[in-house]
Amino acid sequence: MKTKEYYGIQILSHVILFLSAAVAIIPILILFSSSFTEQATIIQNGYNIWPKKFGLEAYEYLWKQRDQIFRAYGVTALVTVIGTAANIVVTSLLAYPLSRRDLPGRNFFSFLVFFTMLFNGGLVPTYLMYTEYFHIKNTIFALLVPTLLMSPWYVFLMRTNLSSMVPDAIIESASIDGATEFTIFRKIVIPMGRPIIATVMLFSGINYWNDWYNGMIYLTKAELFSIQNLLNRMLADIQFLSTNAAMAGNMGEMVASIPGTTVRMAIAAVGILPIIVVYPFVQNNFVKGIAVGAVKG
Amino acid sequence: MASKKLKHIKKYIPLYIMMIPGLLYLLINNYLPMAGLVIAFKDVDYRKGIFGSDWIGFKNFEYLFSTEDAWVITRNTMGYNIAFIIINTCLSVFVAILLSEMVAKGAKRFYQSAILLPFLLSMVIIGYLGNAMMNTELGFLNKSILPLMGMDPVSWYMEPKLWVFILPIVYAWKEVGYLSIIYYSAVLGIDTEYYEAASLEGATKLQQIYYITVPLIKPVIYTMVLLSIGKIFRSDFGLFYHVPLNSGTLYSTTNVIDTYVYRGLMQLGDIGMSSAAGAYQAIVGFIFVLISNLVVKKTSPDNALF
Amino acid sequence: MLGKSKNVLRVLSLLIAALLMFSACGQTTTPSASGSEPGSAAGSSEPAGEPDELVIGFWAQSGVPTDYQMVIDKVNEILIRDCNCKIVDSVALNIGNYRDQLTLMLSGNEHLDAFVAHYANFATYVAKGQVIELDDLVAQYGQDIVAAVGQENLDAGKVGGVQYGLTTVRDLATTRGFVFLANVLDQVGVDYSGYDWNKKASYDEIHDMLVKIKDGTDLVPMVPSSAGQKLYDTLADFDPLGDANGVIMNYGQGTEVVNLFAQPEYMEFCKRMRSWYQEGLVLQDAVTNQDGYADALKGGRGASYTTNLKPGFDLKTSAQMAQPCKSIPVVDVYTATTIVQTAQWCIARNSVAPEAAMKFLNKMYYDEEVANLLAWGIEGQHYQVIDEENRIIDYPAGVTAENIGYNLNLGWVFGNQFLDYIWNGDSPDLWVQTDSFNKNAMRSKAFGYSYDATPVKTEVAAVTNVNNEYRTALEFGAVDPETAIPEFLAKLEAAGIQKIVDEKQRQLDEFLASK
Repeated sequence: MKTKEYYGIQILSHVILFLSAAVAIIPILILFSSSFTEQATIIQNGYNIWPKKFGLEAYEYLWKQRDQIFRAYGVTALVTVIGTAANIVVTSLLAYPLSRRDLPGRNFFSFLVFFTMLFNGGLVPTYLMYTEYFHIKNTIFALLVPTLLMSPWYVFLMRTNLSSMVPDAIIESASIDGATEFTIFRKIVIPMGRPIIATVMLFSGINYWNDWYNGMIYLTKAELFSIQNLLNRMLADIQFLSTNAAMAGNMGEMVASIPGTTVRMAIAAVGILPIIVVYPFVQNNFVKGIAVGAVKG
Repeated sequence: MASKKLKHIKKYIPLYIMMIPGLLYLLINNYLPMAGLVIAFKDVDYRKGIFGSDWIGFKNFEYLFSTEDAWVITRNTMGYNIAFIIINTCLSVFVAILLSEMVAKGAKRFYQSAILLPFLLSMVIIGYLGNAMMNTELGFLNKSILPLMGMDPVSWYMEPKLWVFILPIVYAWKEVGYLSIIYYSAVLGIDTEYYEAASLEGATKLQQIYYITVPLIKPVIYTMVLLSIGKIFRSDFGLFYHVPLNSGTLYSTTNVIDTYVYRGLMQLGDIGMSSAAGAYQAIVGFIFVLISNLVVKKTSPDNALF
Repeated sequence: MLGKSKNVLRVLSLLIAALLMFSACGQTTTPSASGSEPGSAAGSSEPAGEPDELVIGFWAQSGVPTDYQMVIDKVNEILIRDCNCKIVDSVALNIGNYRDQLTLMLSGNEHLDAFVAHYANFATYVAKGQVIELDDLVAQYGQDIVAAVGQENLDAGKVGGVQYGLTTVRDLATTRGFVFLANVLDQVGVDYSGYDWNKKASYDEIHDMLVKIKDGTDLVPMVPSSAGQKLYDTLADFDPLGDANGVIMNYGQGTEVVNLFAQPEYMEFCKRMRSWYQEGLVLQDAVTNQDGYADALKGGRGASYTTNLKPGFDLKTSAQMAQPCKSIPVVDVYTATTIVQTAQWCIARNSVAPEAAMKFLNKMYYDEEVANLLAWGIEGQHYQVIDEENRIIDYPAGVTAENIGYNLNLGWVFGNQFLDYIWNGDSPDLWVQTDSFNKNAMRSKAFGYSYDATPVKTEVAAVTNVNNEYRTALEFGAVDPETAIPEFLAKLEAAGIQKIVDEKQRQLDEFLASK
């Protein structure tokens, strides 16, 4: 029965969400538009939602480096796919037992996980360990393993969701029926936990895609640079030269060759474009996954 | 008695086995390097090696407390974090609920994708976009919007007071889309039977939201808030450094512990001091979480972290 | 999507466990070559005859050029023949990340021999024991370096009387000033002939030029050179002694260390800039500007910027900007430790073949062939000699700036720049000019003194924050110095600047006494 209240809520949702979407999208339009213009135009006229004067010079600059950029795309895509798969496996295997209230030592293990969110040995010890004991420097593992392979935050998130979404009663009755823990995990928990699993996969996928930190620390060979890595290196150069150019005699030459704002915007655009393109398809599955999980049997 | 307990635990062995990969990873990625925390208390000389270097007590921590800035950065860090937790949680729960109530599927997917987009941008780029909006001569606001409203141009990057509002707005812009997904999936996890039963009894939509939806996603809200409290002494570096374009004039409202440490150590490169900062932030956050967790344990034990 | 079988799950978990296990089979802490030939654990304990393997580190603006390995192979031919060593790997990163990466590599045991250190890190490397003492090595294998650089300049690389860094031979002094677009000056009728480093301009003269530009064109007369620029550092006429917190005024011609920001010169500078700013001669957004000067000038927005200057600057910059530029100094030519320390070669603690590293460095400083290979590439492929007598080179046929396979342009980093050919467009007597420039510069009395910040590191951290808060805005004239400078000074006091000044004075006195 479609009451006034129903319509009221629909209209309210549309209005608010539309405004939110607009607020979210407008700056991104500015981002794209400032990449499709000439540096001189920006310097003189500033930024607009639609380029005042269309120009492809930023993309031409990038096109010259297309080998490196395509390669970076490839690396990023590969790392994202493998990483996300590995991440969800490790995360859910840890989160599910923690979600079981009857697990002996549950609080102890939860604390173990939580503690790592706060206390960190720091960059140098982590670097030394990964480089000298595990030799991951300049290998693909450097992009896959440190920090991103499992996030304690998502472990907790999944733990909470699984506790509420998978009722104890169902687990008990399954185990009375003789199912092993692994079977319960596979046949009951995973299907019922679809929404949170899909969510964590989405987030860890984004994290892998966007990561530049691991590359900055563990990669000195350009072959393995990811897209975000390239952008970050460029920005780091700008940062360094702007704070040190005064004292350094010859660096002035370097300052002149740094790409301007349009190119930086273009690189950022190039970095998020694949996500914008891929996300609708992912979202299809995502929503299906969530919707299926939401139907209780 | 012992054998009974053993039998009891035996039943859980498969679950413990499942946890092994994750715990092993934590051991390697987090616990092994944690030995490096000693660096905070040492004057590292690589000739002697890290563990052979001299202990210097708390000297590396001094710079965090010795100046009048110490109060400012602490106040800023905690103040903003509290504001962020409250604002972002409320907004994202609100958006999540709206999304879940929306019937038009196409529109729903579009909105959800749109509000997620800002999350994908790095703070450096957001800083440039901010510049596009707030640049004194060429920015969108000063050039197009303010004149429309008949107002004078504002020197956005020179007025510290404005940033108390600008920073939460920017942070919400970036995070709410992403956070709302978490709450959205939590809302979807609610059994539809509850709603059916409620509407049969004549409850209005609003009442359903208030009495069913919100309470049932409380566990997720608790988890998120408690985890955030653990980070109460840390900040999103990019937000406080890149978005204000590293403008010194704004320090009174944009300098937080992380940026203070970074700026202070840029020339010194002293790893003892940066390790000390990390330890300091960790300990304070830890204390806060312990307290909050205890409080939650008393009031709704199910929702405690540990 | 998630309807995978348990097998896949199991396999994935086993895979991950295996991955971790496999990589855990790594060894302990013996020095391991990063990315070089398998099984190579280079060491001078190898049988004589086997060339020592070197890993060198330097910064590269845009990463390693395509023909880099080719060039290094040629260099290695010479090195193997003459020094029984060869370069097997290079850490050549973009400058923004170079420093962090070096710091990490120097804290462990990765194989690294000779590398270039920037002055900002040099003192830390020495203090933390990350680089080795070079005196014996130089005495034994590096005499050509002493000959090329000069003992006096080498002193800038000494800390506590011990040699740790070897500066390269290049412009080892500096002057500072404004760079104008020559066409604009012509347009508004400014006579700029006669200004060079022997004849500097006064600030008033510059002011008049800027006013003419403002009145005669739409351009912003003066733009910042980079984001967050501290103008008074760019136009410094003092010896910064490392970090400008405690300096020697007047080109370092005295021995008293003072608080720069409390000096009357500082107030005068800021007041002058304030009036320029209010007259509209400076970019109004100077404090938060994110564009580099090149974009502003090429984009038709700005007419001048500030920087430090050296011989040949005009020609180089005009080429970069694709329009004629004219530099006008406002300070005298001088030199100080910091200026010489811009690029120094050091040998890392983790080096496995320090003697070989020193031999390589020595070769770079006196062997023309090696120097030019590293600076310009392979003759015929990356450059061709067009004037043998004056040693001028240019692109070979068919090669342009876009497709050249070797474009490091780091002649000033690779040893002795005076050995290099001169690129077409620069003045043929560039090196002669530079040498004369170096020799005639005023030398700071504190030359050779490197300050160790460790005793005052707490204060430095606090003071740096205060500096960042006030300096950029004050020095561009964006805030009123009458009110801001007292505030600034008060905060500096509270942050402990006097302690830093006193410490620097103490160390300086020690240094001077020991000479």
